Amino acid sequence: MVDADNGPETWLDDHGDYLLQFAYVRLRNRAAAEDALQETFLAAMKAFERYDGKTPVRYWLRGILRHKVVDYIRKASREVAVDDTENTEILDSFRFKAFGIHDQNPPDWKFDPQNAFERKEFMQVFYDCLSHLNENMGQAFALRELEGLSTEEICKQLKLTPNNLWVILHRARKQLKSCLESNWTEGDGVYEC
Amino acid sequence: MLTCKQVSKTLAENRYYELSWSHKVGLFMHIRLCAVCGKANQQIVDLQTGIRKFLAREEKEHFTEVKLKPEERERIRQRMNDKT
Repeated sequence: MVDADNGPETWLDDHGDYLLQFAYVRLRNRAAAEDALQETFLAAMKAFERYDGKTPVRYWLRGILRHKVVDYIRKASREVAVDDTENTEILDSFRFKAFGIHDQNPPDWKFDPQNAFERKEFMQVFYDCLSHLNENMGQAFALRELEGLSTEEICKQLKLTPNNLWVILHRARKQLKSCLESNWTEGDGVYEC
Repeated sequence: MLTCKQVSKTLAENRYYELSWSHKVGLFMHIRLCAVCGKANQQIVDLQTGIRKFLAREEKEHFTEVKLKPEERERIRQRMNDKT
């Protein structure tokens, strides 16, 4: 469905910013997001004859971008050394007693999450915190929580053992929680008016 | 009966759907009865709710807080032109 309104020359201006942001949240790296975007456009130009116009071109491009993002993470993960300090950290963070009973309460949220999630400003903080997860964690977290890949799939892509993935996701959640807590206070958003 | 350690592992792995029926019941009971695991579970659920809302908002509003810089735009445009 090639016509003047959705041809390749319009993509960069019409969808460039949106797609860059989409990639950036998942890759947390500006240069990587730019590369993914560029590859998406190039791949899309090749495949454009097969575009049937059933979905808007933005979503079609986004579908290609999703693959590029996963590809990129998979390639990048080959260079990231997997650290396997797994079990000590988990045990430290949960502090199990001999019979496996919790010895330590997880600290309470420092704000009311239900309330905060409804706030528009909170989503900005959420977005910033997601973008600041460190490389290794961020990759696994993005694949699991944002792209909804299965555990097996992620382990295969990132060449991790399930145990490693478990540790990484746990750390990512912990970091995300503390990032949200230090960047959001209930009083925020007062300045919205 | 499941131990807290097993429960935490299952929660962190987020694989409830793959559990057997009896394991699910055990997990559910444990989370209901154990204050600490209940809280740990709630916090994971809260974060996931946040992510779901974030994704829903991303889908609806098409954020563009991050914008292409002119030089990035130019680089991409150049590459696309090279290919045509």
